[in-house]
Amino acid sequence: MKFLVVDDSVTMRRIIMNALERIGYTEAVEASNGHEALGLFDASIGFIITDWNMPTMSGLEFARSVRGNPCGSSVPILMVTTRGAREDIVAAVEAGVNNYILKPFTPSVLKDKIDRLLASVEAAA
Amino acid sequence: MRPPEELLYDSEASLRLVDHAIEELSTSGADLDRDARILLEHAIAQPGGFAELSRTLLRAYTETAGIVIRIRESCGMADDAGVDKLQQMHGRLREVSSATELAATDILDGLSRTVQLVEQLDAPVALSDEDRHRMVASVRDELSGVMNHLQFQDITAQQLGHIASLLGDMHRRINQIVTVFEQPAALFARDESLAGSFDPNATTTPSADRQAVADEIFAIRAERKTA
Repeated sequence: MKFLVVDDSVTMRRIIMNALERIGYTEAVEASNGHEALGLFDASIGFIITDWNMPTMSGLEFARSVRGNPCGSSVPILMVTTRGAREDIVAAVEAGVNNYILKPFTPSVLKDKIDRLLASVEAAA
Repeated sequence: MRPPEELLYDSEASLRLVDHAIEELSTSGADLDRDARILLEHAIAQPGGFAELSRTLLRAYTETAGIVIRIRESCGMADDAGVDKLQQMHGRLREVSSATELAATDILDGLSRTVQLVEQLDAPVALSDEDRHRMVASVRDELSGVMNHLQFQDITAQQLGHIASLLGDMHRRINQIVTVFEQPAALFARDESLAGSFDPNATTTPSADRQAVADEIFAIRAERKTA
């Protein structure tokens, strides 16, 4: 399972990459904004973890672009963000995000969300 | 209707007063701006000069009053916006300071526990393999926890980004007031790379309630999809 981790904060990317490694996912690529992430996105990506607030292209725009890509219609997208307003969460749902974690988070929450999303993908397959 | 003699008398008296005022202005002419004095002399020398002078003074008064109103409005706007923004910035800075302290304390606690575990592992006491594995796993968990506490850096960076944006807004507002008096100073160069990179409501406070709202919305969506 190859992860694509998108966040403009190097610290956050390292924290997420470290958490993924501890969960057991060692294959991952990183991008610092949506635009850069689109350049890395292809059929080999099995899971996307993205922030919302990023320069150049936000996580929301990135999610919409992925959903518009033939390879990206079913790839799970987990948004990890500080934006907790109800309307933001609804906007994320409408953009095609599959689940949502509010920062600051614990590694156990991240693991739980990833497990659930992968289980739902397997169930749908 | 007043008798013509009375009107004439009043007009003459008024003109004498104006003449007296002009005389006074002339004597303090050294203090007057040269252009203003020329304008005054020119106005008086013209046929109907006094009427022209009064119109000029009225125009000057209207313009001055307009400027004063604009300054008052600008000051009022700057004051309202300034107080509001300063309060926001103050709150944000307090949050950054407290989050930094809290994260530092958590990190130090985690490191202290890690040091204790390492000392136990290093002690000349025979440990069972099970105990050793358990302690090594604890060290790993503690260090991972330390790393996780560093999330505060991303969140406080967003809070500081918001403060920078508020300062930029205040600078622009002050510049608007400055333009009433003189050429504005060079505008604060806004860092466009920051655009969209921060959440103005970012907080380091973990909130189970906020996460619960997100979970509920996604659960409803999942139910609808399966239905």
